[in-house]
Amino acid sequence: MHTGIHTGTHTGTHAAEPRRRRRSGGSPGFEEGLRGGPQRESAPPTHLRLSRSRRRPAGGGEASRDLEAQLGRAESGLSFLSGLTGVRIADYSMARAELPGSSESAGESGLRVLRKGRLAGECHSVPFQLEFQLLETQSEENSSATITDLSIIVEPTEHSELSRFVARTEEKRDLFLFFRSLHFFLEWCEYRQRTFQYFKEKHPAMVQLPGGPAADSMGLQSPCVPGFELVVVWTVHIDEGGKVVPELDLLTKIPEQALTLDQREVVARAPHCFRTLLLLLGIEAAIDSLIQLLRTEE
Amino acid sequence: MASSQKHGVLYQLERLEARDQRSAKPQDEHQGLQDSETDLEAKIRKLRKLRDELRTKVKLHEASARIPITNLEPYEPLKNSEENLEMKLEKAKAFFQAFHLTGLSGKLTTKGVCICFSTAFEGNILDSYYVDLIIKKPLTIHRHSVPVFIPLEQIAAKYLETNFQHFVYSLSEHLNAYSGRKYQADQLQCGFSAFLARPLQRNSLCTLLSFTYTTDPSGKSFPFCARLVYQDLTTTLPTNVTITYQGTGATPASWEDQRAAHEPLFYKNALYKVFESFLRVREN
Repeated sequence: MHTGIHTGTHTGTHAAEPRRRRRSGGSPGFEEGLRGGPQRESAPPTHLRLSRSRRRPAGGGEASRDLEAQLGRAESGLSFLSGLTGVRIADYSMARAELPGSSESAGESGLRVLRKGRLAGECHSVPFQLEFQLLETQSEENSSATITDLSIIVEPTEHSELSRFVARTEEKRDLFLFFRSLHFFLEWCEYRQRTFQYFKEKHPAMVQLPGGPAADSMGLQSPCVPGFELVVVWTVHIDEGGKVVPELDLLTKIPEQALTLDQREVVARAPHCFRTLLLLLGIEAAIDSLIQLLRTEE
Repeated sequence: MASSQKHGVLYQLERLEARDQRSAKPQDEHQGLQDSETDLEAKIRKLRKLRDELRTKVKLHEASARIPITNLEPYEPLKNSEENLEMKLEKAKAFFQAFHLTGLSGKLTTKGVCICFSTAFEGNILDSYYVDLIIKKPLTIHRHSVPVFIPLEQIAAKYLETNFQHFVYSLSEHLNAYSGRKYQADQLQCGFSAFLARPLQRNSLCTLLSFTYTTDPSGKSFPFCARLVYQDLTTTLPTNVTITYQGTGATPASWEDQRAAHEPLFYKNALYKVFESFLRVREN
């Protein structure tokens, strides 16, 4: 009975967009990164100042202050990029590799260079490690670069969807798509978790989270009429093209006796009506209206 | 020149010597001129060669500058427990460069920030674009290299003020999708022109492709007239595929069967993959 729907793209309807309750505008890393720059240059940390005076001669003071300023700028640039992309780099290396067969001298097709690299870090707190090979071909008219090999390891999480996506991305060797889709996927999962937790806190008696807040289903029970349960199933799906699509559906658990009384086939039409509700109100308001529905029996 | 009062042999000899010296000078000069000419010619040739080398270098550099991922310098982290200032700086610079591998990179400028979007399609690294922003209320786009048919203003109006990260990722989606569609169309045009009965027609955003193809380049089979529409600007696969027959007369049943088999292929695979499969079928 599980028929998924697409609530459109990840942008969806207004209420369906991932919201950040803390931030007023931009992401904190972005603003921090900007503020970090000038502050660093004007006040170098004290322990560095002391060691400088002890270890280096007077003439070296200028050079190391300059280095510190450069380091400060580089690190603030890094923290800006981390805030912007949600990716934090923990380890990186890149080396030229021998091209199998020929030497690297210019042949008929131009210059060919093979590079091997490793990148490790976290994307929204999900650790990843990847190794890749990058082949560059340069000729006078154009230059092209291709990723000829890609191997990605993502820490196993409760999101089984991710391992299938990672396998597909490795096959297609689409490195940028990996980061883009991972970002959108994790954003949607975070939003889902926040939403489920919000409703759980607001109506602790009515809301059940059988798999925990990070799972993909939330049960709603009426406090006074036992046996009735509405289950909202919210899966975050990554399609063939790497597009992240949330799918919401409603399952109903109704006792047999109630079903016989259901003349107007409310239960059978419930999933369809829920889909309409989602389109009209957005995710949060639709779930809220379901809860209100169950509460009115009081 | 020994002065000789006698108009005798010595004097004659002196005069002959003098004359000889006089006539030798222009020859030397002539020779010298010739020498300097050849020197200059050699110099010109050397300079021309240098100019050609530099021109090639500039062209290569220009071509590679469009793809920042190719400018990544080699870097190996040193496994020292103590990192001095220089090593820390090298590491920070290398990590900064490494961000190009995520597809999103950028740097802080004097007035704001410049973001670099790298695009790729199935492992092929394609063009990069940049957006230069000025930090002030409200956040404004100072300069950019985004093509005019990408809805940058709409995306900025929607997200720039409220959710900067989303703005960046949404724009990255659009640019990557456009690059991917353009790459597919270019590959079809250049790589499989034998299959195309008429040249490929496309709009600038590459969301509408129209072409006539045959599965048999020798022209014996009926042509298929395909029209691909990409309604979602963030995808590289078409949302709408129609294959028709433009011509007179009825189409044979085999054409209909082939058409029914081709349509789902275009929905699920990149353009050049579909034509590669035609090629494989023909070779079998």
